[in-house]
Formats: sequence, structure tokens, C-alpha cells
Amino acid sequence: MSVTAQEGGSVRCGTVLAPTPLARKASMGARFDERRLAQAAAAGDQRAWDALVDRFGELVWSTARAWGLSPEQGADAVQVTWLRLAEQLDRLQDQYEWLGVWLAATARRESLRLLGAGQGTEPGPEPASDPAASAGLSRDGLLWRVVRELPERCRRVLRILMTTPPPSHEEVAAALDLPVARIGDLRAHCLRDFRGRMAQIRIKTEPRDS
Amino acid sequence: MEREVRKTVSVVFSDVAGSTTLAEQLDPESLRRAMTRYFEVARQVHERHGGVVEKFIGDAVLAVFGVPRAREDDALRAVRAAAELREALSALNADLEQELEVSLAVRTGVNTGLVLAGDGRDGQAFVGGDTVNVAARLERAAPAGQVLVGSSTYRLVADAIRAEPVPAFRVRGRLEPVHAYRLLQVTSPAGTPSRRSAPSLVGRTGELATLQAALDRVVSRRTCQLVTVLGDPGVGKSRLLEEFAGRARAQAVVLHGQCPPYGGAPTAAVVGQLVEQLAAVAPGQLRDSLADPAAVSIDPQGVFGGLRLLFEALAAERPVVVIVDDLHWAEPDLLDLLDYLHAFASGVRLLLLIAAREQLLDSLPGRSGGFGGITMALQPLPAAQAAELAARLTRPAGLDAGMAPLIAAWAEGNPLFVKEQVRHLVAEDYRHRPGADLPVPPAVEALVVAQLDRLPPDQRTALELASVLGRSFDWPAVAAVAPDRLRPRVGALLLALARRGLIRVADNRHGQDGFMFSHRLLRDAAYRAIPKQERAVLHARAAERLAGPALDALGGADEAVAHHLGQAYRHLAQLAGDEPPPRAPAVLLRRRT
Repeated sequence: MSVTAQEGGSVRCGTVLAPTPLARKASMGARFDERRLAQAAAAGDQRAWDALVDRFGELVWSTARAWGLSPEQGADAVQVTWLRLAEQLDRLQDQYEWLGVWLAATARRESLRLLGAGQGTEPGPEPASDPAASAGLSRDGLLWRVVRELPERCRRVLRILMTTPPPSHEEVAAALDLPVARIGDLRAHCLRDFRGRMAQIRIKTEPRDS
Repeated sequence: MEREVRKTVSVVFSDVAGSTTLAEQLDPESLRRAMTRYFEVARQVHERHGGVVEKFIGDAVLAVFGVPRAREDDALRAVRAAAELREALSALNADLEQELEVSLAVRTGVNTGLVLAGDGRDGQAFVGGDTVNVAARLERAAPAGQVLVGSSTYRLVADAIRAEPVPAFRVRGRLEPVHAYRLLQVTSPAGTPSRRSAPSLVGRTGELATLQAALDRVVSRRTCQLVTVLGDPGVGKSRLLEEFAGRARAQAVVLHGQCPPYGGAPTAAVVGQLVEQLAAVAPGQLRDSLADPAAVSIDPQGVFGGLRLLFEALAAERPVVVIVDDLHWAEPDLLDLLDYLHAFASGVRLLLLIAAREQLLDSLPGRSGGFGGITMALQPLPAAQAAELAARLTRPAGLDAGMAPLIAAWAEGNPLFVKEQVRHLVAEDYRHRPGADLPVPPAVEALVVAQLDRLPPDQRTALELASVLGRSFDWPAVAAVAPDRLRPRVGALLLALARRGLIRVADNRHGQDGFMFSHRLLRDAAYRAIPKQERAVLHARAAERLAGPALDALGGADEAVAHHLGQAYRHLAQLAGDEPPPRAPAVLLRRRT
């Protein structure tokens, strides 16, 4: 239940999708005192380490998946990323408050390295299918296509933004290798694109009357 | 539409021990007759306790408790059925020995866990998965004639049974050894919920004073007074009445009736309990008229009048307090009886004290305001008191003192949730990670899901729609995401849900009818029951409604719109193969030397 509690998210306006780091700190209070956790983990506190893995595990995973790694490759990238952190935790002291950014950047680098090794297997966006065929698509198929036909860049952005807990703009930027200043606009653009595609198939996506 | 849901059920797996040998001893026709009789007995026993016989596999019987609807006492029902099957078998064996010169011995395994099940809306329920496998392994490990109870079941029923642990054993395909208990006896009487030993009462001084004032008025005015205590499951109704009963015994005779959640006639059960206690305290001449409490029948004329005369006679000597707990399980005739006593008992010092969940109001047609008399809505404990309760429980349990406020906040003031969480964390040897959500103990999960499963389908749907909007929501928003068929009735459905206590009227500042889920766990459970694809569609609709017609409305400022669109995308993306990370991603043990 702990997972879904986050999935659905009560409407925590202002902190839902891409809060600034300040907003996040304020909203989470002392719960995610990353510096404190990192210090404790560096001193060998397993629980603090586990808390960091809880906190950033999904961000690291999402980064690997956003770059198109298969689940198996993604798991490798995640492992390597955490291994790097374990190795370097002592030396990262001035970055403890930006651990999410460091992890996202490292996950991205490791993902690209794995991809560069020629192992990329994730298919790109599905080629748009024959419009005539789409007329006969089931509701499920239509919904699936909305996701598949979203431009790859937007899928990537949304993939990271949907991470739980919500990443900061800095973390998103580090994961995707984009300027921080562009994240807000990109997010709005991609959500609008997604919304428009959903609206197009609205007639066929009435809630099922269960 | 049929949809599969993950839900927690209890399963009973029984098999005839040595049936192969039997097959060699008996001619096929006799064997078939014996087995048919056995299957029939098994079916009756399971159904009596609310189980569904899912299938017969060879000579084995698989019964499931919790489909199509979950009940909070499914685990205890399953164990009771297993115990009763054992007893029923000895009666059957007496017959079989006479007729066929054979007797059957049955091994049984009981287990509780998550299964993937049809939601039963069209009457179908298919159950499979690891939970059933483990029950089958428990059955195989049980000696003939014995019942082995898995540890997840045991934790839910530990207060209601006697059992002894058996050595843990391994089964193929599972890393963890299976822990099990051999059932000796079910100790809590059939048809009563298992109430766990109550911790010391925290707070409730105002409520106790109200009850005491009612008793004082009854005594001073020689009158009959009815007090109804309403509240959510676990909020502490029984505990409050127990505390009050203890105090009231100094000045009154206290009789205690308890509606059983199932098992035939609740009215007869309650009347029987009351009459039995009456007989024990009644003066001589009364006692004679109560010679046979078991013979009390539910003849309105006879029993209603008779009980009134009994109470009046007793109340002439001493004030009488009659407590009836869990009245929401009652049938109309018991409600009529209480109404009758309240209306007609005159000139007597009689305090009728009723406890029930708010769903009682739904079962009172024509009594929309509840009964007459005083109605007290028992609220969750204030945060400080909940923390105090948690602290009292965590200390002896050896939990970190820092956990108490976390547990209190998680429970949102529900004392039972506090208590169950402490037990669960201790049993799980829980190690808290800063920032992590607390787990949901199985007993609490069962209670929450049972509340949802009891709802009529349209109310259930309305609650699920609301859960997409969040903990707080308003009527127009639910209407906006509702399917056409339900839209005109959304207001009525929400009011019905409020009457049941699942949601509360929250906020009318903006002229909207605002509501709020009574507990976060209710919202989470309702949300989780929606298939991901439906969640996506509903979130998208919620975003449409919030954003209005202009596509440009999403300027990055409207976080609520962004939230819903984001959730819609998230669920669709997961369906399209972008699954969430494994729950425990790559936790490296980091040992320092």
C-alpha cells in the first residue's frame, strides 16, 4: 500500500510534479534530510543507506528506462550507479545536498555507456500505423498508441517527471542532460501534447461502467 | 465487466489422508458414495462460515474466504470452518463405519495472502497463486486429522485460537521456510468477532461523562434512556462501553449483548445472551421464569413483552444497563426490540446502550435519524492522545520510542489501527527507514477492504471515482469523471457514502459540496482497486475538467491539472511496458571494516 499511496498522490498542489528543490525541502520537512542521510551512510549506517535507496531508487531506474534501456539492462545500470555512489560517497561530501542530481547524472552516463556498448534493444517509437487500421482499434489499443506515438523526447521527459517521489528540476535536467531552465517549458509542452492526444480519443475512452 | 483484483483472502485446503489406500480397500461405488457424502459435508461447513468452495481437485477441497466480498474476519472464519470440518467428520465417520466399514481422515491447511481473483461482480471468482500453493503444502505437511495454520493466518486469529508452532519446513520454489501452527482449539465462541485484549483507555473523558450523565438521569428520573454510540471500525466503541460498564457496575446491573457477524439468527443470539445473564442476577421469582434461556424464541409478542417485563422487574430493584454491541450486524427484529423497549419500558431505571458502525443508519429505513434518544458520534482520538496510546503500546513491545508519533499519525487517531500497527511492526521486526511509509498490517487491510466490499456496486464505483481525485474532492468533480449513467445520481451516492461514514462532508467554503475520505487507507484501497487503465482514463478526465476547454490552459502553473495528466501518463506508460522499478532496487550491503 505504501507504493500506491504515492502513486495516486492526494492532490498536493504545488509539490506534485516538479517542485523546486526549496519547495520540496519545505514540503517534506526533515523527512528527506539528504545531507544527514548521506553522512550517516558514509559512516556505515545501513538504514541511512537504505533510506537513500528508497528515496532515489525510482529516479535512478527511471533515468535508465528513459534512455531506452531494457528492464534487464536497466537493472544493470541501477546496480552500477549505486556501486559508484558506494565507492565515492566519502569524496562527495560537498554534493550531499545534490545527491539526487549526482545519481541522475551518473545513471544517465552509465545508461549511455551500456547503450554505447551496442546492446540497445529497446524499440523506438512505433511507426504510425495505417489510419484506416486505427479506426478499428479497441479502446485499449488507442490508449496504448497515445503513449507510443508521443514524441520520444516527451516520453523521456514524462518518464522522469512521473518518478515517485517527484524529482526536482535539477534532477530531471541531470537525468536527461538538458538545461535546468528548459524543464518547466518542456514539461508544459509535453503534458499539453499528451492532453491533446487523449482529448482526441475521448469519445472512445469514457470510463468503463463497472 | 469482470475485472481481476488483487485481494487478500484466506483459503482452506483439505484432502483425505490415504485416499489411495481407501481406493484399494473399497469397491469404486462405495468409495464414491463415501466421498460424495464427505464433499457435501465440507461444502455445508464452509458455506455456513461464509466460504466459497472454489473447486474439488481429486479428493481435495479448496474453499476460499473473502470472495466475492472480503470480510474483516475472513481468517477466523476459515479457521473455524477447518475446525468444524474436523468435528463434522467424526459424525460422518460414525455413519460411514456402520454402512461401509471405513472412516475418513482429513488433513487441512489454512493460509492467508494475496491472490488474483475475479471481483465476483458477475458471481465468478477464480483464485490462484502462491497463497493457494502454500495452503496445499500445509495440508500435505499436516498429520491425518490435523489442521495446520500458516503464520499469516495465525497472526490474524492468534487471540481467538489455541495452537502450537510446528517446526518450520521448506517447500520447493520458496526461499523462505514456511512457518505453521497446529490448531488445537478455537477459543472464541462461534459467531463472535475476535476482540483483542484492550489496552488501557486513553482519552474519552467527555464521552464517559456523557454516558454517566445518561445513567444518572435514568436513576434520578426512573426512566428509560437510549444512547447510540456510532463510529468507524476500530475507533473504540467497544472499548468505551467496556470502560463505562466497569464503572457502572458499582451502581447498576450491567448486561452485555453482542451481535455476531454471521451464523444464523443474531437476534436470538443477543436475546439469549441477555436472558442468560439476567437469569444469573435475577431475584428468585424471576429466575424461575427463566428456567430455560435456550428456549427463548423470537415471537414478537411473547419475547418483546416478556423481556420488557423482566427488565422492568429487575429495574425495580436496581438500575439496569443493557449494552448491545456491533448492532450493525443485527437484523430488523432486534432493532425493533430495542425500539420497543425504549418506547414502552416505563417507570424503570433502564439505560439501553448501543454501539454500531455508521452503516447502521443505512439499515434503518424510516429511522433516518437513528433511534430516538441520544446519538454519540465517536471521533478518532486527537493526535496527542493517539500518540500517547502508541507510546504506551510501543514501550513494552520494545519498539523505538520515535515510532510512536509516526504510528499515531499513520493511524489518524484510530486506536485499533494503532494497536494493530504496533503488533505488526513487532511481528515483522520492522526497521524503519527515514521517510518511508509505514506498512499496512493485514488486519487493518482486511478491515478497510471489507468496508469497500460491502458497498452496493454504484456506491462502490462512486467511491472509486472520488479516489482518483484525491483524499479531498467535491461533488462536481466526481460527477465530471463519472460515466453518463451515474452522473445524475452522484450526489445521492456521495451522501449515502457519507452516511456510512466512509467519507465526510469537508468543506463548503467555495459553495461546492466538499467531501473527504474518512481515512487515507480507505482512499488508497479504493484507488488501488481500479485497474490501471481505468485510472489513466479517469485522471485524464479529471485534468480535462480542471483545465477547461482551452488546450493552452496548461501554462505550467496549474499543478492539479499537471498532476492528473501526469498520473494518466504514468499508468498508461506502465501498461505500455514501462513498468515501475522492482520494489527493492539494488540494495547494496555496504559493510565497513
